[in-house]
Amino acid sequence: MRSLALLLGLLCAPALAQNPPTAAAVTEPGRTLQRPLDIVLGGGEKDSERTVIVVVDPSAGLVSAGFADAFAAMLASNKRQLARTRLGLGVIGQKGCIVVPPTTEHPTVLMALRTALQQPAADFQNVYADLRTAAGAFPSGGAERVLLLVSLENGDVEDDVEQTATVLHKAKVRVDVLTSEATLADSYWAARPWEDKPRGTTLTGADGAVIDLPWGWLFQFASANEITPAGFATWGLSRMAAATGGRVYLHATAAQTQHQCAINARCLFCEGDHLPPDDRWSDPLVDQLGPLATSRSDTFTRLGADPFFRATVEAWRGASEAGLVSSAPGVRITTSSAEPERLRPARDLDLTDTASFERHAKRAEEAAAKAQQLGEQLQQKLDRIEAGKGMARSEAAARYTRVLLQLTRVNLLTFAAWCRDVAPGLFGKDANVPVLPEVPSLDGEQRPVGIGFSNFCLCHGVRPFFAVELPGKAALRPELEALDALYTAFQTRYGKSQFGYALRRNGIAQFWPTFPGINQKPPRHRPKTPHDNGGPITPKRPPREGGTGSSGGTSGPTTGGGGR
Amino acid sequence: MNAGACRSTGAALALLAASLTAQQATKELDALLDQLGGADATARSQAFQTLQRERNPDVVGRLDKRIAAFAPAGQQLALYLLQQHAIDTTRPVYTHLLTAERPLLRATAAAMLVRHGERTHLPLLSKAVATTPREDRLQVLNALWSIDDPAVRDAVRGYVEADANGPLLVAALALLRQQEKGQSDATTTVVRRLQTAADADVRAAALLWLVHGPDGEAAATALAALLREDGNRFWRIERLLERDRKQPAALTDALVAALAAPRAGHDVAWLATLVKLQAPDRVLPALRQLLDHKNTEVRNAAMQALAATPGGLEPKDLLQLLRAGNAEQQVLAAGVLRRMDDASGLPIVIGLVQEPGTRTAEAVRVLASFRSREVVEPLLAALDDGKVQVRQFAWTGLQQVLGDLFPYRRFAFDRAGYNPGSEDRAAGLQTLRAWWATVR
Repeated sequence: MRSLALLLGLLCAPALAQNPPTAAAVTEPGRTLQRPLDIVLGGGEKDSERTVIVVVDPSAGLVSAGFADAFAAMLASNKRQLARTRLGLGVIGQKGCIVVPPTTEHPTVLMALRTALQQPAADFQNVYADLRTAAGAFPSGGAERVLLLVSLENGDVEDDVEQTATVLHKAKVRVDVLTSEATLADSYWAARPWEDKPRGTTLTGADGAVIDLPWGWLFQFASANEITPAGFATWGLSRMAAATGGRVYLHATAAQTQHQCAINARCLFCEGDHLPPDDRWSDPLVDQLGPLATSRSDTFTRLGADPFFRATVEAWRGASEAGLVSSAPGVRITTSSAEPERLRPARDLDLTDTASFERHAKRAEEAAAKAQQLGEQLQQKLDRIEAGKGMARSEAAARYTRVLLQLTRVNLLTFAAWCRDVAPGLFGKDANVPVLPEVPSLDGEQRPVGIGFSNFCLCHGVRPFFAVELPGKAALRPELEALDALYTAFQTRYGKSQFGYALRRNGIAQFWPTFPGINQKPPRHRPKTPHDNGGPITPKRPPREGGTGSSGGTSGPTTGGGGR
Repeated sequence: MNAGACRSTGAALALLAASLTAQQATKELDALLDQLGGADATARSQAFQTLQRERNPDVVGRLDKRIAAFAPAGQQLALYLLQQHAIDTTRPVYTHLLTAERPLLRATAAAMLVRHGERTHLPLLSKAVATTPREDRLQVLNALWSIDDPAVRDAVRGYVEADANGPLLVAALALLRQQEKGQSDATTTVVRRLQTAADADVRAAALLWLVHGPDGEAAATALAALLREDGNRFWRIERLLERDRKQPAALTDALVAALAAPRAGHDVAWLATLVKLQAPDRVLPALRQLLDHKNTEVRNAAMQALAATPGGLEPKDLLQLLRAGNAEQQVLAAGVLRRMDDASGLPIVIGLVQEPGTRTAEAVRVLASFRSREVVEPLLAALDDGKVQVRQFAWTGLQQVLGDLFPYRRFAFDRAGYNPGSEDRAAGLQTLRAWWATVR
């Protein structure tokens, strides 16, 4: 019998190895509160005994979503199914976590829940530590054990995810999670390592265990990695569900915003009335591009063997060393695997801090050549990878990187042309005198101290830019055409997914001279998600206070629309 | 007569003339106020229109003395006139009106003062609201916007009675829902009593209020029957419909029927959204029928709603309209296709705008929504169109197009010497054409 099991195990092993669990396998469709409550709490069989502990992270978002009322409605409508269910309540951040031990007195739980939600917490909370504590609160016996974690905000405050998963697995507790949507390969906290956080934790927030999409591209005002909805929860919470046989339910409020071409950028091609053909995401495609829900070390192993990931990391590293991107991969590729690496600062091309236009132009042209070289090298590698090798997500990330290298090249060439052709004509005796209705771009005699930039969004694609007068003019056209070809090919394949959305969040840069003045930090936006009745949305992230002694920061994503 | 004497005589004459003019103006104002407060409805209406147009500040003081003696309809119009003036000047009038005999005057004055910070008048306001006779209640409700006070709400709840007329009941319930931020138990209890009212509109309003309550399905079924009896009844109670919420299934037919016969273009979008929630498969057929509606606004709104609905207007439908539709449909289709990143309608719109005979303001507006250099010449041509609205759209559009196509250039269009409202446009046009010739 044992040898038969071993044989079966050996037969199944390759199949399992080829299909590691992804977040898509554990994420449920929909964005409402009622459905997860009905399924998780009301889903038991009326004659079977079970214990459900609801562990609530009492955030303001949860209060305004009406969680207590939804919970009360669930209790009322599932009386029969809950007849033999012992309900308990834990509150994240409370000492010992559990405030109502499992009981059949369900109104007591409801009352305690309402009390807990009367004072929502606004600071970082270590959800994982409280989950480990709550695992010990289940009564002994063979009854089914379910822990429903309700945390819209704090999935990104990681301590030891794997230990938590192990503790819960050993305690035979299934963890279902009700949370908000993460950001695609979220780089927000990686870009702000100085932010305070609770002792022993790391701020993450991406949908995967590893940030697998290069971020911080030169001349991109907002990082797409900070504003693109992932379609899944933060990795830590997906991992909890995957490791314990649970499910993830995403929540979003019904309040939706219309399609927005640009965030922190300008759209040249519409007046906010765009009906993008790719606005509605394809659920199967989004699922296909979901991140792994394996442990972080398994994820590294798996990604290290993925040719697309390896090609991306190599191009990312090259771009980092050339100053094309402000981040480094944070991954070291070995012969057949990958492992985490301390983040090193990327090269700073120093293109905007002074008004040395000629010097900047020269550097930019050198960097543009490097971008072209890296792009071509990456393309060659991608062309050599056999069909069916590697994960769909890794391939999307690699092809995204390819497009971004060309976009960065276009921006560098535009920048160089602006420095050479436009900027000198703005000042002093060289200043151009236009004819009406055009007027000089600058008033006064002030001397510039640097160069600023913003972005024209790519939401309408690259082709419309052919009609726009950009620095470089005719010389830029072949580069724009090359970008258009890459962009169009990418969007044809990935347009209706989180990766297509991410690409549209980038833009062609516009430059201007800057003068001494006051700089203001732009607000961070929350990511968005596809919605049943329309396209993705982009709500703003509300502020969240920092950890102990924090001077503040912003939260992980809690966004969304309707069902995926 | 010396020069000094001449000057003083001149000044005196000027003063006299000014005084006579002032007297004449006062006389005219008094005559208008006589008409406003009088019994002749036609004269009253004409006087109101004149006074409203002139916005004479002297009217405030005069109304202070006379409003109490006006006929009831004149008092209402006088209140409207007072609202045209700053609260600093009208505050004394409202303060005096707090002791007026007619509750409508007291309620309106108190509401105005409460809204401007004098919340001590809230008890007086709630009492005035409660004692207002039925014929004045609709006007009182109109005066209560943004006043959030339990006693006032209690008083308004008193209007919810079985023998109220339909419009009054709908207005009272709409105000209560807004102020109670939903439906309070107190109001729902009162509304339940109206289900046996004699007036079918009152019953319908009450049932619509109750469709989301515990017996919502039964209420919706009864309401659906009332709506089938009289198709226009829906529009008389629709203010009470929660537009962002799925309705009971029994109301689906009524909503589809309303979408099929909208009052105006603005009804189409919200009804389409609601029907989409109710029965997604029924929204597209209803919207497609509206493409042949006699009202242009409705046709446009239907097309926009279809375009915003997945599968509503596929590009192939729009391309078919571009090829085979009339000029108006072609413009609409081109505009929607442009929003979908398809510029295939551009040549057709350019053709329509270049021909003065087919050039319309809407065609010019749609043309200017394309960010292409091809649109500049036709827009420049439209700047000299015979119709001012066409010129205005062309001017606004040209500024947007040039700003977007030339983002590194700075424009001062107000200094170009062109004004779409002016008869003399040649110089401005020449400036604009000369500039375009240098950059095209």
